[in-house]
Amino acid sequence: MSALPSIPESRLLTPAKLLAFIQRGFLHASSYRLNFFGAYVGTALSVVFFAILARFYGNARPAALAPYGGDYFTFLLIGGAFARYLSLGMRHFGRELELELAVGTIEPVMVTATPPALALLGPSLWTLLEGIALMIGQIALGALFFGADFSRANWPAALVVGALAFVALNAWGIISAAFVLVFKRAEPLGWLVDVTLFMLAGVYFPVQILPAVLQVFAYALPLSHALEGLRLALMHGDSLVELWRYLLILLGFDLFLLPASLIAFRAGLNHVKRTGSLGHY
Amino acid sequence: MTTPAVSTSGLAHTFPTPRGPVHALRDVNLRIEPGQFFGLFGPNGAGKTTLIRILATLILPTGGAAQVHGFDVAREPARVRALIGLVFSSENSFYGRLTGRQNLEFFAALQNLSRADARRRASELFELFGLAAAADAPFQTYSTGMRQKLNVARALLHNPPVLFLDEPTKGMDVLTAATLRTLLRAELVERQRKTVVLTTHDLEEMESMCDQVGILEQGQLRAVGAPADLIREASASVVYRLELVGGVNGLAEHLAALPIVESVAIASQTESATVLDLTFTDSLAPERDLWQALLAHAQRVKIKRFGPKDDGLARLLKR
Repeated sequence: MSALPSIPESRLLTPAKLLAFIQRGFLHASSYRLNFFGAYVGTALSVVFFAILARFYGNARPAALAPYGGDYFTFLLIGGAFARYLSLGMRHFGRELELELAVGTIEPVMVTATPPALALLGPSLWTLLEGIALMIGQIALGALFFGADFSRANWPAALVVGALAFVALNAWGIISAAFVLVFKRAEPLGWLVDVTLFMLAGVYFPVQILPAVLQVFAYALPLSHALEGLRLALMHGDSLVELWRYLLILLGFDLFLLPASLIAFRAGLNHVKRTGSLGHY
Repeated sequence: MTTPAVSTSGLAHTFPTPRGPVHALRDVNLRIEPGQFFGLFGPNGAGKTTLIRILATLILPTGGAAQVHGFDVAREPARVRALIGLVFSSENSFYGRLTGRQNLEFFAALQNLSRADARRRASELFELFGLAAAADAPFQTYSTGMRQKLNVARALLHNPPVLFLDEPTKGMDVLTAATLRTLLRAELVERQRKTVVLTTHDLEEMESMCDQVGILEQGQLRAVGAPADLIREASASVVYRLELVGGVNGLAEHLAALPIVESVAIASQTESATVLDLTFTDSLAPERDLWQALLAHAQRVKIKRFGPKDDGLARLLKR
């Protein structure tokens, strides 16, 4: 028995495996060249679109933008860049898993010496990293060429808000992946979720201008609090102390969504292992 | 007593379906020794793939237990996965736009091979399976045979002692299937002394490759033994069908009187055709004696077909 190969638990999750998933994701994504470069061109164009939209407003400074310093272009840029990335966190696990199910590669990955969680969520790692690159690119482009104002930005505070939001929205994403494991489709009404989310979360305008009823729904979303906190940190220079309300709310979402996502994921995995439906799509 | 490579005791699996529970496996007790080439033989839906998937930790059993080299598939799946390679019946289990080499190197990393080892191992396997020339071509350009070979190569990346093959020659042409069978038998079992468990419903594949065979039907293991023994036993009770042109009177009685014939039954008789089912006292049909008896019959007969009533698979399953 001693001659048999065995793998210590510590070698199940290694940086080399994370890197393998990232490299595989990059090779696959970049093989669709038009689509791959199109994402970067589209991201750059969205910054141009924000600049044009902001120019349309001219020097008008709506009262609703006052808490953020009043610069609509910077407001739009932060909303567009972060909302795109954070909403990606909500659904990329499910979407990538759907693709893997369709291609038929989930089961071969699951029988390797890789923990089931990495086997099922690893395919999204490239998308997550690419999302960070695109978000940084958008912010940099806006600041360097279109005059986005980050002169008062409190970057460490923004990083903390971003990290808390990242955890909450990715936990949501893991729940979505668990949904895919069982029902084989992430969101039957994905487009509706997109529209609702972008409208309610205050991507293009402050949540405060929504009717009171819609504001109730808006503040039930972690994305709304994340965007408000990020804007206050980056446009107004708010410190962590000043942002305590947002941090507390996002932490609350984390504490609820993270265990919920782990429970949902474990339940989904058990379901497919009992029903033999892991490879179904 | 050595630890078996694979063992199951009272193994059962029931799938919940909207139409009620489906019992895919019932009370399967199996012992496969290290170094054995074991065939799981049975028709579609017999439970072969479910059994392989339980052993590969992809499905949890709903009853009984299964071990690979003593490790329980439900309680110690990570240890089991380190010992096994699984060849899927589906040829589309790779990333189509990646090359064969990129695919193998990705899976090698997931099996804990370093980058250098992954490269070396992938190259070795491309050579072994005659895929070296296509190693840097996208997987989606591979033929069915090449895909299945890459499938086997992937299962061997981490050099596991136990290999599960789920219908590895499915969809292949006869020549490619024969080449792969020879390679599997010669390389994996005779040279590398691996334990191989193969599912098949191809009688020829079973006979030519396996040391031992388990016959599965409706989720139950009907018999286990060497393929030749199972076929010999099955042949002992073979019913042969003799189809003649035209109605032939008195032939059943004439043949029943022969010492080589155990029994004769008239399956059908019309003016245009006569069909008889015969069993012989010897397990092999003494055709020469039979032809002589037919020639000796008063009425001239014209034979349309003569052979076993059921094909090999059906005979084995009816034993």
